[in-house]
Parts: sequence; C-alpha cells; structure tokens
Amino acid sequence: MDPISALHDGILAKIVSLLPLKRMLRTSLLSRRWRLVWTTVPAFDFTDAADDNVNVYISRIDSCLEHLSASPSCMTIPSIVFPAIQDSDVVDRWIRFAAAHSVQRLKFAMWMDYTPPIPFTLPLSLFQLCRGLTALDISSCEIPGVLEPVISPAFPSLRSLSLFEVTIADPRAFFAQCPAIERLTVELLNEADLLPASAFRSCPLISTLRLAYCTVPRETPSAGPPAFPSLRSLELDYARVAAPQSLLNSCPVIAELTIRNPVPEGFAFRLDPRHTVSTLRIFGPTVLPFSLPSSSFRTLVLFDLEIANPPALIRAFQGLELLSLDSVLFETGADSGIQVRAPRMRHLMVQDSEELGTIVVADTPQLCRLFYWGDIRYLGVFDRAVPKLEEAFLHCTVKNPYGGKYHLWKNLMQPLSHVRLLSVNWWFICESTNAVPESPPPVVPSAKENEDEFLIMMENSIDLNQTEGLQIVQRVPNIGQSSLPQLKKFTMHQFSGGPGDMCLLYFVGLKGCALQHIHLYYVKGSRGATHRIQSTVCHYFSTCSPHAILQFSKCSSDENCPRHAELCMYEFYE
Amino acid sequence: MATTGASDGASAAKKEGLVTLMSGDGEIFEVEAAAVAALSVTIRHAIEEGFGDRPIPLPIVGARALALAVEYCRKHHSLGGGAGEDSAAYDDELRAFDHNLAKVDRDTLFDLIEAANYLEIEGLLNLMCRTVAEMMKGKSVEELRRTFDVSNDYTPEEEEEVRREVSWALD
Repeated sequence: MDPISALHDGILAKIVSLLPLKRMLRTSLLSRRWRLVWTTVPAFDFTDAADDNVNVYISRIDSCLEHLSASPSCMTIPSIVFPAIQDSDVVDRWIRFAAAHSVQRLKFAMWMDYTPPIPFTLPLSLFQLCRGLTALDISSCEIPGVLEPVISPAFPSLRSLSLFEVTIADPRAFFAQCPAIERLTVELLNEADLLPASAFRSCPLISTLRLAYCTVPRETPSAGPPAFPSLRSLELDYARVAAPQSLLNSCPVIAELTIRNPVPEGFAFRLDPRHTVSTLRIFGPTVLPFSLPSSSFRTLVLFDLEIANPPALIRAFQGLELLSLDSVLFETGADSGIQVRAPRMRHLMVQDSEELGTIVVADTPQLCRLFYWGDIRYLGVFDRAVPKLEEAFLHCTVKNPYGGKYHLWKNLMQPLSHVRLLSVNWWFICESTNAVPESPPPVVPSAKENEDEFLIMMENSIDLNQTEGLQIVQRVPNIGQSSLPQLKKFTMHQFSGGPGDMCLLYFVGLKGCALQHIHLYYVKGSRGATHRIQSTVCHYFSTCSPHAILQFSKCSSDENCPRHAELCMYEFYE
Repeated sequence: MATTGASDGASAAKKEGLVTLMSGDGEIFEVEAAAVAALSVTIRHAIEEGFGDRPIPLPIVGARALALAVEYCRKHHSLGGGAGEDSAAYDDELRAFDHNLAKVDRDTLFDLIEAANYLEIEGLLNLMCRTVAEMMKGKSVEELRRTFDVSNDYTPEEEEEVRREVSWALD
C-alpha cells in the first residue's frame, strides 16, 4: 500500500480534519481506503458548503449528514458548526443530528449573506436533547419563553455561550438553564430589549461577560449576594446601562472593563479607588470627562476619544504599565502636547493622535516597547528617557518627514540606539550619484552589547516611497563610523531592488561583521524579484559575509508577514 | 546532532541522565532522558516503568525517523521547555527548526508521522499532519493520487457513485 494510505486510521482522520469540508469530501474519491475516512473526523464546519441559493446550501449539508449517519465509522462528533439558517424545521433536524452524535460544541454561525432576519423560533429540541453541551453559539433567532426541558437545567455542563442578534422572551428562565456558564456573550437584535442584571443570578460562575445592543434597566436593590460574584471582565458595546454605578457595584472582583460605543451620554461610569478595575478600555466616539482615580490603573486603552481634562489623563500615567492612544484628541482649547512620565510604564502605543500635539517620552525608566504610527514629527524622546527599551516600531505616515534635516532625525533616533529590535518604514540615507554610496550612510542603532537583531520593515500599506523602499535625501557629511558588531539577523520586507534598498544592503554588508542570516522578502514583479538583482546581492554578500545564509522569499500577504502582529495595534485590545 | 546517532551499543557503562533507545532496525541511541521524556509520553512511561537501565525497544520506529524525532525533542526541550506552539517561547528559532523539519522527503515524512504517533510526541505529530494537509490543499483528486502514489481501486461504477455523492465539492 502507498505510504499515506498505510497510516493508522486515527492519523488519517487527524490529517483530513485539518482540511475544509469540500477538500475533506474530495478525499473520499482517492480510493476505497479513503471512502469513509472523512466520516471519522471529530469536527465539522458545514459553512464551507455555502451557496447563494439557500436551498442548495441546506441540501448540501443534509446530504453530508445523511452520509455521516449511514457511515459505520462515524460515532461521535464533538464539534459542529452549522450556518444560522432561518428555518425552524431545518435547524430542528440539525439539532437532532448533533444530539445523536453526542455534540459538545455546537455553533450556528452568523450567515453573512442572509436576508433581513425573519423572526424564527429556536426549536425546543435544543433544550431537550443536548445536555452534553459545553459550548454553544446561536445567531439570529428568538429564544422562546417556555423552554420545556426534560430535566432542568437543560445545559448542566455549558461553560461558554454566545448569542448573536437574538431576542430572549424570558431572560431569567433562559439563563436558569445554564448554571455553569463561565464565558457569556449576549448581543440582542433590538437595542431597547431589556436584559436585567438579576437575570444572571442563576449563573454565579460567569467570569467573562460581553453585553451588546441591549438595555440594562435600573432595578430595585435586592438583598443577597451581588449579581456577578465571579465576574473578572466586562465588555459593553452599544449597551444602555441605566444605573452604571450599581452595575459596577454588583461586580465585586471585576478587573477589566471595556466600553465600546457608549450610548447615549458618553462614559457614565464614575470609577473611584474602591473599585478593583485595573484595565480600562474605552472605544469611542465619545467625550471622556475623565474622572479617573490616579494610579489605580495598570492598563489604559483609549480609541476615538475626545479628552476633556488632559491633566487628569496625565495624572493617570503614574500607575500605568500599558498605555495605548489611538485617534485621541484633546477638547478644543485644552493644552496641546503630552510629556509622558510614568515610572511603571512598559508599553506605549500611539496611533493617529497628532491632534494631541507632540508626545514626548520624557521619563519612562521601565519602558520596553514603543509603538508609534502617524506623523513621526509629533514624537519626541528625551535622552536617557528609555534605558530599558527593547523594541521600537516607528511607522511614519507622511513622506519625507524631516526634509533634508538630518539632525532632527538624529535627535529622535539617538535615544533609541540601544534597542534590540528596530522596525521603521522609512530611512534616512545620503543621496549619491551612484546607487551605492561611497561613504556609509548614517545609521542607528549603533554598536551596543544587547543588539542582536536589527529589523527593517518596508511594510507600508500607506504610500511611502515604495519604489525605492527608502527615503533618499540629501548628503550629510561627517557621519559617525558606526558599525553593527552584534547584528546576527537582518530582515527586510518589501525588498524592491531599488537603489535605496541596494544602498541599505550595501551598508549592512559593510558594517554587519557577525551576520548569520539575511532574509529578503522581495515584492513580486519588482526589480527585487529578478535574477539579475538577486545574483548581484548574492555575489556581494558572498564576499563580505561569506558565512551568512542569504534567503529570498516572496513577500506574502499581511497575515503571513512575520511582524504583522506588531503592526496591528488592535491585537493588544483583544 | 552532536550526541545523537548510532553508538556501538556495547557501551554498557551508562552516563548519568541518559536513556538508551533501540530503533526497530536495531540501532542504539543514547539520548538525554529529560529532553525525550518531556516531549514523548511513550518514553516517559517506559522510564517510569523502570526501563531506564535497559535499552527501550521501539519496534516500529526506524532509525532515521527516530534520529529526527530525538532531534525534535532536544530542540523543543532546550528552547521551548516542551511548550506548545502557542506559547510565547515558541520563537523564531523553533519556528525555523520546525519549518526545516517539515521539508523532509515524502517517505521520511510518513515514517516520522508513524514515529511521532508511536512515541506520542503531540507537537511533532501535529506539525507533520499539518504538513501533509498543506500538501493536499489546492490539488484535484487526480493530483492528490499522483502526489501520494495512491492507486485508484474503485471500479468505474463505484467511482461514479462516489463522485455523484460529493459532486458539489469537486468544483
């Protein structure tokens, strides 16, 4: 038998389970050995059967289910994803299939192409047959008021529940069916629908809660334990909270509070030192009056906000370990500019916030990561302000920010010269009549003990000098004789083979005496992809760094870009 | 591979912290017990059951696959502390190592899957299964048969029947 078909059944199932549904089914055509392999897979995502015609979509899934039910190899299917089709009969059929295969994680995924939601009622079979569920996702349906479970609660083991665009006729009765829930997301269809905090009293284990498009009404205070005794993380998105203070008071151990799209009158929570919140994220648009208690926050993330009280913001820096400002501005009339003095701060991220004025990193002895995306002229770093900085990502959104003024550029870069990893999307290199300059261009970082990687990102979705990859500006005489003795790995993204790129490579080869690995991601169709340029580069490094490994790869999509994560500030919000 | 590799097998005097493995084709490997036991459930159990002094027989694992599996354990033990791919310790170096390991020729790939499965090295098994799944993507049924040398033993009627069943998945 061929080596793949000779593999153990369980391994074949494991391999096939890594394929999307269509490719899974195709394997049944390979040979008799493969006929039923796909039916032994422990997880199915039927949304891969999508078709514009909903009836075709349904019949494809039904045919898969028929084969699975008929297959003697198909016993249990712990994880199943169906599309959220608006049809009670279909959904009932699928629920019965899932229950018959001992499903544990069941999801009805939001179907992007669906027509405006026709009210459709969630079949009661879910409450009668699926006692083994540990995770459940439901989209676009009405949850009826009378649930008629055979044994109550209907979901004794359910740990994770997500509801999207649903209406819940009787929230209290519904949540009483899932007493073991730890992670809960509720997004109602109608923002005005009520979701009283007392409805969650039967779920004391909730530790992560997200409420969206709902109204949390004011309730008369009741005796007894708080509504959310275990809640650590609360997120509100388009949620109208009638009594924010009492909601907060019903969460005695809350550590993270995230507010998105506060309605209607902005950020209404008054946090004082009594509260245990250490992470606060606010996503506007809104005006932040900012009555934060100073030095109780560790993490502060602000997005799309107008800040009414700048001194209060600056006072909050005292205790911060992470600060992220994205599209933040001061209310008109307020002072512009911020000096960041924060004894504990480890991460500072600033994006598109030029309207705050210049941000000067003045005294941050613990700062290890600096991210800046915007007009780089609005960033300043004091000398010796960042002794522990390890990584700096500076992405400039304007062309040629300093004109020909080398000293301005040097003022910014000099305090960063000890970083272990530097990522920039523009560079300052002297102009030369040849593509390769006679004298080396000015370059930071300079030689330092801990510098082992020097990464230059040419990644830019915004239009910088893309054909060149680098800014080539006027000649600067008397540049220091810097070198890169510790540089081991050099990576360049979006290598286009233009004179700027070649100039930088020339410099790296000349100065990087310990280079071990040079990795160039060339842009498809550019000069950097041609054999001529690549062999020139090979030839050059074979003489100056004969022991280094030189590798060319095609520039991949953003998702595969090895440093893509660092470019996405949003990753930090999640 | 400084210390992996077939030793002469006669060296009965064992060094501290080493364990002896015997591949299906009779080659003897002396490796650090801590590294392989951290990654391989099978070897951990064998050591716990007192195999520490005698060679542990691994009847279905060939020498080449065993050498690669041991190299995997050693690398992941020293760099990642045996942690999975999601941990922060899974850095560029481990990723590059895994990437290179996944480039082995096709037959070694399947031997390595068998070995990882037998030795219960979850990370290695996942890596290799993912590699095969990647090879399967973007290929028609005919191309799949060619890539993996699968011979079609369906009768034309049977094949037609299966083809009808999954017709929507073929375009």
